[in-house]
Amino acid sequence: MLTELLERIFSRHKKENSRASAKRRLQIVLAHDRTDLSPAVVDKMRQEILEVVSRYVEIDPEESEFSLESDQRTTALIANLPIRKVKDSKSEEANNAGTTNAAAPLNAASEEVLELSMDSTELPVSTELSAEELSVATVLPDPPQTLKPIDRTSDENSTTTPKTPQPSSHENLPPNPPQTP
Amino acid sequence: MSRIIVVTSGKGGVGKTTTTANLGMALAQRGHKVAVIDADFGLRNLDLLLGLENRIVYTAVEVLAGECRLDQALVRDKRQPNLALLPAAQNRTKDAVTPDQMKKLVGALTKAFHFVLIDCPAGIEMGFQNAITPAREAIVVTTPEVAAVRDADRVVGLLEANDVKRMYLVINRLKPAMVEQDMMMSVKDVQDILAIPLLGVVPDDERVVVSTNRGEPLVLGADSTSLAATAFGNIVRRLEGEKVPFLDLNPPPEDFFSRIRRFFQGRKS
Ligand SMILES: Nc1ncnc2c1ncn2[C@@H]1O[C@H](COP(=O)(O)OP(=O)(O)OP(=O)(O)O)[C@@H](O)[C@H]1O
Ligand SMILES: [Mg+2]
Repeated sequence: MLTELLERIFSRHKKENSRASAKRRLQIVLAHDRTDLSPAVVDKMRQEILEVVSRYVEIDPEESEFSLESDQRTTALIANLPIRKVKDSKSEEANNAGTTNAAAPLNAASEEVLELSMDSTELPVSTELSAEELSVATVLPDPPQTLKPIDRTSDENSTTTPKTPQPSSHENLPPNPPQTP
Repeated sequence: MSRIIVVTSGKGGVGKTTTTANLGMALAQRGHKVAVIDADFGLRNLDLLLGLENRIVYTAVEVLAGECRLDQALVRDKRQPNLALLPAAQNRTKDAVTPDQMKKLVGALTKAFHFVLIDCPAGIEMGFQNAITPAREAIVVTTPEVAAVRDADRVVGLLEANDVKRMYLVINRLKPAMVEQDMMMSVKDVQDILAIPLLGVVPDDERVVVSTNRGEPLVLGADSTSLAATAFGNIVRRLEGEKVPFLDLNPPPEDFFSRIRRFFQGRKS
């Protein structure tokens, strides 16, 4: 509680300078420009990935982050999904049967975060002509996947790998962005 | 083999024509035979920046129509005989020529010139296509502003798709004092984002405006020792393959009082 409050006062509310805003906003908008993925497609991916992950662990939808980022002309899809509870096999069955309260709570102090990142080095450059032919499959060809649990506390020490920026450094898509028709 | 370089940006008004005029003149001063082509049909300006506007008789359109020979349309610079301009038509639109015709024109120019610089119009439509199709290399000009950088990124993608693989970045109108105060993206910020090799950084300099008033590129006139002129000169040497350190554009250190003042005002953002 107290740490949260202190964090709010000292970091969250510090206003970002305009130079940093410019760079951060550009990195996000260019990730979208370069992949030519519509917000609707990104949201669909988000929902489907959440669906799969939720079969095994209980995710906090409020805290989940899901974004496209670009670095050195490489675009990465970054999902940061804090785990509330791990579902054991019994609870999974229970879940399938329609009940959800059999899951065992995780040790709160070491709450795990499931970080999923997909890098694609060779994104095809979209020209106007080929834009409508693009699908998720062609945009992210054979992406190497990494699934690694990391400790919440390591976030503060910026020990994440360079390819996976810290959650606080990227803009999050809202958990439930309005669905574009 | 001649080098064919398009100067492009996506966004308008970031300094393509200024860059083309100064690089063309600086290359010519260093002994290369240079042709600069104005590919901005309907909105030509390269003639004005070079001070050659009164000497235009024919344009690329008449050459293509067979109404004159290529060398009749070329305007040779009397101040610098190594430099020649192929003007664009002013009374026509960007559809007056096709990419294939541009390729033919440029091909003919490479027989007599070491460097062909193409001044690209803003945008990514027909005029852009005309300008980039003949090019083997590209100089992407941007300013350290979000819209210009975003458009530059789009252009980098289009150049790649059109097989112009050698691209260099020129960051124009940098204001070091603003960068210092975190009010403008730095060279590194822009370079991180666009991720193509940096060819040069040109500071924002009011003498650029003065030089365009006169129709004398900076590198030619009395201001040829200005920081911006030096920056263009360095770009040319880098184009020649020389390793030239980047200019130190940092402003002189602030005096004690302005630092104090800023401390109390808080950093603007
Ligand atoms: N380094 C600089 N410092 C100050 N002013 C500059 C600088 N570079 C360009 N300018 C000014 O910016 C304006 C636009 O420059 P310029 O015509 O070269 O841009 P452009 O990219 O060719 O524009 P367009 O897209 O319309 O063809 C001009 O008024 C020019 O004087
Ligand atoms: Mg221009």
